[in-house]
Amino acid sequence: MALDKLTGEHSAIFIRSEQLFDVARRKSLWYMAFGIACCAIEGLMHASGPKFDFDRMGVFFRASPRQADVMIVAGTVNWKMASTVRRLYDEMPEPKWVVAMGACACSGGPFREYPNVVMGVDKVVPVDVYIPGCPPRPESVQYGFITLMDKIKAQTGERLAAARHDGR
Amino acid sequence: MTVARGVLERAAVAASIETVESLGAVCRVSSSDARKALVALRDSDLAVGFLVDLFGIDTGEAVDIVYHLRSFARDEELVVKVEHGYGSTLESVWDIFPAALMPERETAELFGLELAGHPNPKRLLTTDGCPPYLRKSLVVRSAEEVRDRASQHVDATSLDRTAGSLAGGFAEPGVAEPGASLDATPIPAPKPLPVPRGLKRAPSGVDIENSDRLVLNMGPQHPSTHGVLRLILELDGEEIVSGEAVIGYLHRGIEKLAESRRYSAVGTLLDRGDYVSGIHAELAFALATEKIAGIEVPRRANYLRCLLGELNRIASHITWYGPMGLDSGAMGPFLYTFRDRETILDILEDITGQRMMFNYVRPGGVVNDITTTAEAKIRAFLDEFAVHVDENDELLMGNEIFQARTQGIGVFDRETALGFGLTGACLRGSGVDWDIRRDRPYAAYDELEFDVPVAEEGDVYARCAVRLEEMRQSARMIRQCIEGLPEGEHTAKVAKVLRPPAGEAYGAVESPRGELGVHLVSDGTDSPYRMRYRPPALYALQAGEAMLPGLLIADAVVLMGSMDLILGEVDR
Repeated sequence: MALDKLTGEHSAIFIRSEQLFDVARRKSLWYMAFGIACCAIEGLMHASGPKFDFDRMGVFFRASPRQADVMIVAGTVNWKMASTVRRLYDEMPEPKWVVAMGACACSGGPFREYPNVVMGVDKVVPVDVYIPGCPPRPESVQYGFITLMDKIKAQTGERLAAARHDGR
Repeated sequence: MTVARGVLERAAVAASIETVESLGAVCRVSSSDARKALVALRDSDLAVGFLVDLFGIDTGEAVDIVYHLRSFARDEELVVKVEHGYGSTLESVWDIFPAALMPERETAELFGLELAGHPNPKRLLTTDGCPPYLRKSLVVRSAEEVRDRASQHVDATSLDRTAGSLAGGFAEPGVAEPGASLDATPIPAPKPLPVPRGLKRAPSGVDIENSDRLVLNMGPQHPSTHGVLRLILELDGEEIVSGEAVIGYLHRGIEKLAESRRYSAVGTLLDRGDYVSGIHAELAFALATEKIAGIEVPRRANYLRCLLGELNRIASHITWYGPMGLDSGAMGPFLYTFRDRETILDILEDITGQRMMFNYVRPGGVVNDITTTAEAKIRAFLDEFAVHVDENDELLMGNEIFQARTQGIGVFDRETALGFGLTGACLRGSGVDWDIRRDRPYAAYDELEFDVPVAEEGDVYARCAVRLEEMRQSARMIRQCIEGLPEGEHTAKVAKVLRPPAGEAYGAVESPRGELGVHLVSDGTDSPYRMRYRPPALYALQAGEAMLPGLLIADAVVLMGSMDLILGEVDR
């Protein structure tokens, strides 16, 4: 297959297991089916619908946090919700990533003045990718995922460089 | 009006009745007489048996509790206002009008009143320690506070799930913040309403540690609750013994923030309330504003409002239909129907510039005229939708498994449906022939030709059938709007900063979920004094909650799916 093209027939390639795992992680980012507000319609429903079809990027939804790699925070987080968001994040297995989708998850959006609203989900969980927009188009979410894939790739490189430095 | 006066005199209730032009008859009674007056009005020949809405208005000196009643028999509206002092006790009327169950809890917590005589006197939307947000003396975060986002400090230990977890309960949710923004004269903090702490007791009151009942917690993260709804179900085997809906996970203050927005910008918030059918919420607000300000809307604008509204209705029904299939175990309908939704969103984007959050309908008309490319797109869509809708009909409604799972499940008879304040397709599925588009025509609906589908059974299947037929009727109306679109202006001449005279008005539209009303109070400034959003989905939710006992878990999922809940609207 693709590797054969790179290396020619009957040849062996050497790859660090770390790299191999990260290729797999990058290409199968399963997100948790966890829609909070308006963004969920665009970022989860239309994304998995027939036109945008995120499945072809390996991005697919799982109902349980135990099986998910990515949490898309799609909507406004208020104080009643915040503990649940944190709890779901804690339940996801490592390695895990968080995408803050839309203005509300990034900074509170149009509701930031209301004291019950958390001004950005990064107050509650660490965020990897911020997607602006109210709501962002599914294309933006797609771009967000591509950015996340690049980020994972870069992290692999950093980790390997660090390992080489340690002489492992 | 004179009839209402007679009824109240016979019941020996002192009342002052006046007629507000844009609202109807308004009675004011004292808080001690409120229950007596409501019983008298319900049982008299006025027959005001339908509670449209219950909410509060902070007048600056006290809280006015407003009971908005309707008589279907006489086709009349009646508003009863009762004054309550801050921190006083609100006497529950749920045994007179069951529809008051959830709105009463909400009103009590957001205005800092105590609730008496209520079967479940807990907070509905917020957590313990939150101040009464809808009081006028509580100001929202200032621009400086918002800009200085980093200053908002979250204590990591408060997010630990062992620290008060189950009720979503922070003991002190960001209390430093609202406290800091209060006026110099502090509001006497209301006695905190009890919030369930842990699940020592099931919703029915049974001590679950010593019984074989199981308490199952569905949500707020659950794939079939359509958002952040949480259902606490008490189970005996697979049968539900009692159930409680917990909401408020998306409470973000649309009503409060509208008090600090200009009239043209309130639509931005309303769009995000009922986020799959924004046009309808905008339209309800525009209608209420136009009633107060006395704006005449051009005919072309009315047609455009209908056109966009009906397109949006189809898009919204598709968002209900696809997940309804998912809930009952069918993946196909979701994929098939979302083709059409993409096409509609393309058209809406063409006309309004946005896929979901339009802010297109403003007081006076609409923002811009229809684009030149839109008409051809709409015609092409209508042609293919006529085929698709029949296909969808067969795909799900003709499926034997689906029929077996929905027929005879979650039956609302006529009286229950009216008692719980159901509107829209849920009410018509129970055999009540009431559609605001036909019975209280707004925009251009009096010039359009359409049928109102009604089903008698009142079960899940009937509600589905009504919605499917509504999609066909909407397509019919869209064609009429396109063909009969009159020439002229798309908006009336309205001041850029609109300052309607002081007054009150109620504007209601038939949104895909039912009667979406906006009760607007103006004080003559450039932003509303109080805007109440009547959420049809909240009333549908409390009716569904009451229907849970006796069902199986799988039926509860289907029942909640058929109520078409949008949590953004339930929590506001």
